[in-house]
Amino acid sequence: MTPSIEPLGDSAAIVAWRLLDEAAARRAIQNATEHLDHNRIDGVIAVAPAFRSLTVYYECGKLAWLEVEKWISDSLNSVPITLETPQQQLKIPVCYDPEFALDLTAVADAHDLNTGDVIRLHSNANYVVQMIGFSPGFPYLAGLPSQLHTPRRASPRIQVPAGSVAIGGAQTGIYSSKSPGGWNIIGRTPVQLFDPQRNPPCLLRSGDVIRFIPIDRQQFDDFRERT
Amino acid sequence: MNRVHILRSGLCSTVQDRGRAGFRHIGVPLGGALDSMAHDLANRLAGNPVDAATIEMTLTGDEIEFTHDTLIAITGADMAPTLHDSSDLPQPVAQHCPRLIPAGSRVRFQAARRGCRSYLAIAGGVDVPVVMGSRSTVLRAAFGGHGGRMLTAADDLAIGTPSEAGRQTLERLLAKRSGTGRQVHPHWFVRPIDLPNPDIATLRIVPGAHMTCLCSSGLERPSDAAFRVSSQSDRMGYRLIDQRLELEHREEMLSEGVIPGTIQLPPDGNPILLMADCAPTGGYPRIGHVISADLGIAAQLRPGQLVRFAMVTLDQAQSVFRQQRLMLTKALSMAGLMIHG
Repeated sequence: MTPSIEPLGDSAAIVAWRLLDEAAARRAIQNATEHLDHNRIDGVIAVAPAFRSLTVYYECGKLAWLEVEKWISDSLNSVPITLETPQQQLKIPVCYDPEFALDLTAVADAHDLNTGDVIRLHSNANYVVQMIGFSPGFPYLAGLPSQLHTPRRASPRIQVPAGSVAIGGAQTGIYSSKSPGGWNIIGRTPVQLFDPQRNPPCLLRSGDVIRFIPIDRQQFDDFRERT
Repeated sequence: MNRVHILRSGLCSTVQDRGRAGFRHIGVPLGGALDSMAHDLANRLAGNPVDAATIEMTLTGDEIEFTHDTLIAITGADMAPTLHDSSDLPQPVAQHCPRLIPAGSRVRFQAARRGCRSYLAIAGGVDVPVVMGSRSTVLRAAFGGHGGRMLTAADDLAIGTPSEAGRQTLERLLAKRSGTGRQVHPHWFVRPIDLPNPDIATLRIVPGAHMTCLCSSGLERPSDAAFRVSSQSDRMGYRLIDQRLELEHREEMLSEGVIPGTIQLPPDGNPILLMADCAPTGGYPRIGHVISADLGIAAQLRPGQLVRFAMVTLDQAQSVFRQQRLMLTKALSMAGLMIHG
């Protein structure tokens, strides 16, 4: 399927696969992002993947729109079809202790489940990182069991602690740094997903497959102490 | 090593350079000086490379003490800076030219009389650690700059080594001072970059993907109305109030890329103009984008200020930007020449 190429203001472009399903779009976006990034021409600053699209940033002092559009379109024609993007498989420990899981009961009540069911369902699925965004290192994860789909909170919290694992609609995600947020918080990970002093600063990449491993409060503290 | 001390802090003063362009794929904002042209110009006047770190002050500036004879340059908003030393009455500090600040004296910035953001470049640049390729402060994620936060009283900032041009200019101004006793800036300045019209500012925009969805019963184009910049405005974005825009229909959309200058329309109808610290993606409809050439004007808008939009084509936007860069390059090289000459 040929994606659309649209201007985003005067210094970026959006390449979108809006009609593809989630998995197909993700593969297309991963391949295209990698290919465009490796074949950047002078004036193209960066390429970043999103959900059904990717964004190309360019210097409008160096490149005119038509040149950018042509470069993108030519490059997309030569994306190697067989390219397999290496993905990491990661286990992320999560403590579902009530002290951290501020909305666990609310999520359980919304679906006539008990909190144990929610934890079991949440930690028994494979999730794919669709995109990193919202804040530095925040992964949007696809694969949330439909029994757990829960609308965002009516009013967002002003401060969500770093490491909070949360559900927003059909997605789950991890607040990588403390920030305001409206998703339902069901646990906390002791893993630091984003650290500007680390190289690379972000633990996860688009396409990575992760699984949540339930840990208790003691294990959470031990993990924190070790790292 | 040269250092400066913050004696009193302004409303929101941060260390900024040209930002982090290559980390948006992991959710890190572009960041950097909101008025990048004023930032570049201040640096060049102080003999610095354009990507040296400056201090960006917002609405009200700081009071800063200099421990050594130091070359500085100030651009952007007019915060009526004055020089204070032990003896004389305060003297105004000229903007848009290199300026010698004698050891032991203080520069006091006040409330901005025009514009919103003032840039202080110090020869050698503010020497905070480079984090992910930049010295810019990311306030929301609390990293970069000086401890990832705004400057506060009693902060102490290290200053890097001035360039050869910066050093020579400093020497020349020092020699001038010992000759006349008072004169501590050259007899020239570069033409200031335009500040917004205080009555009503105009920002040029190109259409956004969802502009055609705007409700035909109301304002069909963002250029039909004047908006007021709300007090809920910061380095991430400005809320625009007094007028509401409506969409014909609103469908749930997945987050897509946004850039500084993007005008988003949340359900309440009050547009949000995104600025340099915006997240790299957003889930609200995009009705337009302020053109790159006018982001400096946007950076100088004050809360309460009226602003309207004027539509241009993508071609026009890009050619205006190239012309503006050409002018700036000329001004920068002129400043460089004057510094060297």
